[in-house]
Amino acid sequence: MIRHFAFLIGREAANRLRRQVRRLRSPRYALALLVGVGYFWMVFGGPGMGDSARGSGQGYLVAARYVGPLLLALYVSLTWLLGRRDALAYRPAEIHFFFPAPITRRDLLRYRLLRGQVPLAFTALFLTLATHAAPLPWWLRLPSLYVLLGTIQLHHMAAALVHASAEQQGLAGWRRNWIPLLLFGAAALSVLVALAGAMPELRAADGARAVLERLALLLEHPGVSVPLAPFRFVLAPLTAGSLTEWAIAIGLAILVLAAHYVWVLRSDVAFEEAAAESGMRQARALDALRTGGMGSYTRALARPEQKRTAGRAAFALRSSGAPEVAIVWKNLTFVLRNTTRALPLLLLIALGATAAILTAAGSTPDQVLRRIGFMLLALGVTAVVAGPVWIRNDLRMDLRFIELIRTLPLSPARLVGAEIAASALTLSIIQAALLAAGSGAVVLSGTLPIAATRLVLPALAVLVAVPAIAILGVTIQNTITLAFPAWVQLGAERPSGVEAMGQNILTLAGAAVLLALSLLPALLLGGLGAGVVALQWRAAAPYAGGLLALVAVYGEVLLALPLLGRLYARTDPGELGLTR
Amino acid sequence: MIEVEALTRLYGTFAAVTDLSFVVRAGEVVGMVGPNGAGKTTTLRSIVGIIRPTRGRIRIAGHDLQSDPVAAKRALAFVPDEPHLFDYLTVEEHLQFVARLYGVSDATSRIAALLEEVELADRRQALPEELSRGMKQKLAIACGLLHAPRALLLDEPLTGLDPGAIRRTKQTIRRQAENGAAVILSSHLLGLVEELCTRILIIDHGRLIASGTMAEIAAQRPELAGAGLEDVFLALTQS
Repeated sequence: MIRHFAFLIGREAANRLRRQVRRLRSPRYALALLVGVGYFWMVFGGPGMGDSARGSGQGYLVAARYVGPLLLALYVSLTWLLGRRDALAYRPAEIHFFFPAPITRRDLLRYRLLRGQVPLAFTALFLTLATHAAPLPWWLRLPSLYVLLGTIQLHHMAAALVHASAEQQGLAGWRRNWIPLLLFGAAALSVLVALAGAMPELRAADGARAVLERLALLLEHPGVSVPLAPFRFVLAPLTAGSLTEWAIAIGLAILVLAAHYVWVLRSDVAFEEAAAESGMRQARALDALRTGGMGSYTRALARPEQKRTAGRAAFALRSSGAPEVAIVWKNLTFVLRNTTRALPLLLLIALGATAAILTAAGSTPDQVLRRIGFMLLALGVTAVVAGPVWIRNDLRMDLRFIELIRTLPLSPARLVGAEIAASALTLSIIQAALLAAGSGAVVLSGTLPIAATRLVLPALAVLVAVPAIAILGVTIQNTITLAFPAWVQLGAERPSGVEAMGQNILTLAGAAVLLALSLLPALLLGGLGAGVVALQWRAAAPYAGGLLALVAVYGEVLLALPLLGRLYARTDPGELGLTR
Repeated sequence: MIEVEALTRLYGTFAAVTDLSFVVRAGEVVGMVGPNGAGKTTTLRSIVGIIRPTRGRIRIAGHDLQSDPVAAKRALAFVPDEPHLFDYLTVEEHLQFVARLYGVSDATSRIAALLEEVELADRRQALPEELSRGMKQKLAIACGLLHAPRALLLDEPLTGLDPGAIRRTKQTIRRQAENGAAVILSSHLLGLVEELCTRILIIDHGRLIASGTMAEIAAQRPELAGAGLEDVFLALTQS
């Protein structure tokens, strides 16, 4: 069976490559590829990288040895808590051909794993290039990263199987997986207890070096070293000092990988039972897949008995007025109905846990509030930078329905504007909420070195600037989607999982560069304006400059809309792979 | 009225539709038939603005689709063979959405009447995932009819409908034409086309090979006199 799967995957990869190469005949794709390769070379292989490479090798070792296992453990914990249903996702054609075929569920899992190897190899290659500063040669780093990512992929799948089993069979499903659950729970508890015990020492440490030294000591504590051993094993090849050391380390890492593989295939029993439970359920899931994409499919498959209710719409839509409001209403309603309600709850739990740990470590309430404030501010800043990539209730979602939206009586520019507005509005609300809550917490902590009243104007300025940056970021994402529709995954969910990590990092980096470039005119105009105003009214200069910068940003977006409209009007449904 | 003039659509060097011209007047129901891959769907998608013609001109209710697309689209409705619905909007919200886009003035009463007509009144709060294939098709039809289009294009509109719904949909199509809409009906169900359509367009290899009433088409081939559409279709497309 594996031979047949390999044939399918091989043919698919070859055909996809051929299609991509053919697409390069189009000048815009060819130019974009050149720019991408140039950017990659500048960042990872360009002039001047040699010196920095030698200088940062130590940082790489420290990260891989001490911070790596802890981060990996945290990542794995999140996987267990949140579940990763996409790890079990099959494409419509796979469901159509494989599910009714005489193929065991175990082989289906093997196929799913095999299919993930091509993007996994790409991500490993990408990370090999990205870690060019590491002392380990690339030909050892590449297989090390491949084994590490492969183990994470298997772990995702195992956790997804446990979740699916539990969701479909309730308590019986959890009981069926009592061994991994017990092991995971005990390991998490052991690490948390040791971490809480070491917190006063970590807090007392002066400087990053001292923190790392304490962290190294903590990792040697049996309560931490034993549970984190598998994580250290899979990371160890990356820090090997010699070929012999690497050979031993990679052997152990492969053992961890093999253990995961056995675990996944053994879990297959529960998955097989659940999948075979009801043809009706499968049909419903397939139906959801057709209308709502893979996210709806996995939701329908995982929670078949749970009837989905429509929930609240964004606002009451009147039948008269500007037609583009209907698009904004539709896309905001999508966000309201598809955002998991657990997300704010998870944030609250994380903040509560942080507060509890800090309090246990001896922080005063003011200090706790201040740190939580900074956490929220950091999240807000992250949302400013990465938010446009995450929030996708715009053309990235609606181009799937191009055959419907093309027939709507809206000019292309107005339609694109409405799509961008919906996403930007969603993002602005999230960003403003996080930044306002963060600033509020910091101010309330009373630990600021200046009077809070002096922060009112800057805070207002930030709140006014945030929507502008959001709209610019979302416009960039939609520009990329319209300019290179064949390179963008359409749908509400962006590609995820370790397999898509490389692609996502590249997208994020590309969008960040574009955002920086598109902010340049605004910064120049703002700076110039501030300079001129400063000649007369020094105190008003920053605000005048900021206002001019805002005008420039909105001006850029307004100028871009007709161009984007033209791009949208020229987008061929065939290029999106949507025509039948 | 729908006017198609010298419509050509190329995919690379492949011509999906070549030099196609026809007119559908107000009150007419024109059937578009042809073998698989003949260019029917490409033609329909070009007329409703989903794809851009390589050459040619399309006018809907007097508005040029290329130079005045918004006015042209406001006058038309397209019901595709596969209903495209937003999975997060309810049945009623789909209609409210369409009402706002097309500026339907008496939306509340029209939505209520249409929901009754397509028998979805008791499913108004349902999401598409809760609907059967036929119900989705009914919703797509209701969305198409809400703004009383002057040009109505239907691609296999009866797929998935139960016998009662088929009868009602046929009546609806006739009524739309009687009320002055220009209707194009594309289907492989030749009996349906023969029953409903006042004129027929037969397309093959992207070209119009015959058009007119059954009698007019048969007159071009005396040996087909008195034959049904199926025989005429097979004789023309397999020759």
